[in-house]
Amino acid sequence: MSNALTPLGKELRKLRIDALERIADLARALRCTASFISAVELGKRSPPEDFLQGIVHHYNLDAAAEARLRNLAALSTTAVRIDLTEGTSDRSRELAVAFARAFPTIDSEKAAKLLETLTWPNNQKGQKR
Amino acid sequence: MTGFRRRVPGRRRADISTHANLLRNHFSLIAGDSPDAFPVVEYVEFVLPQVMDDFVLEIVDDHEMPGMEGATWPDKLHMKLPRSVYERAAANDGRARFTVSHELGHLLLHQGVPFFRETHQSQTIAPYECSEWQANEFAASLLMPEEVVKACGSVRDIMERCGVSQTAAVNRLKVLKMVKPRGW
Repeated sequence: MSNALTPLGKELRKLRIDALERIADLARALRCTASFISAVELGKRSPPEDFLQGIVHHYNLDAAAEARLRNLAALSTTAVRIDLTEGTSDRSRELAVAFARAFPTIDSEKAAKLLETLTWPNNQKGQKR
Repeated sequence: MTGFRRRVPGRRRADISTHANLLRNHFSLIAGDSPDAFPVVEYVEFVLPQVMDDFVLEIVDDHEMPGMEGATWPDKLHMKLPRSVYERAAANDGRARFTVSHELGHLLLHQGVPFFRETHQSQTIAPYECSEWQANEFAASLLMPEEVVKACGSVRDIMERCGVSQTAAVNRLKVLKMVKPRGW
């Protein structure tokens, strides 16, 4: 296990230092524990949406800074959950499972192609999170 | 790491307090006038990351560090504190501030230091060669520099001005061989 800060962790630390806030101060403002913030910084927990919203609000981030934060959060994610409980067809379940199984074998070239297929049709509608 | 004594290359008391004083001066340079009570949590959170980009302060729930007050891996630039200790230090509790200072001592004094492997669990480690003695000595001189202690009029005065516990203040007086005048 690594003990380095994730890119998101470094960004959070920078925001805190710029505001002269300790982890304890941020924890109080966001009503969470210091150990939770630390776990997010080290990539041991994925940042939940309300945490990110709390950061955006607390540091009064503009749209560009928020986009940057969210991008780093996505990069720092250690696992992705796909909800297969509601309104999921057998076909799409199969897809999710097949993808999870094949994931370790997908090289960067293949990943680029798959990403293209996944993103071009709905670039107008915007990506749902 | 806190918890077990290791034999490390010896350091004199004067050498350790020079390190601690440099660090206090470094903080004053950045922050302007610094108070007698050295803001060790702020130093660890605001200053260390600027001088050591890879430094990591990790805070974990207490049950993840049973029976421990802190741990440091100097070569990984990694300090780990249980949440209760961190929170108390952030709220200026004297004992917890000493713990953080002690861990900071390990981080700064014991980087790249070979931890000698003992063939026997010997009791023959001289104090100046003991990792724990060195870290305690560092913490004491960081939080209670000699000249500040000398300007204090009582144990309570040391506790308040330096932000330390009674035990730490009394120990420091003994180490500095300052006789407690009657009525302290």
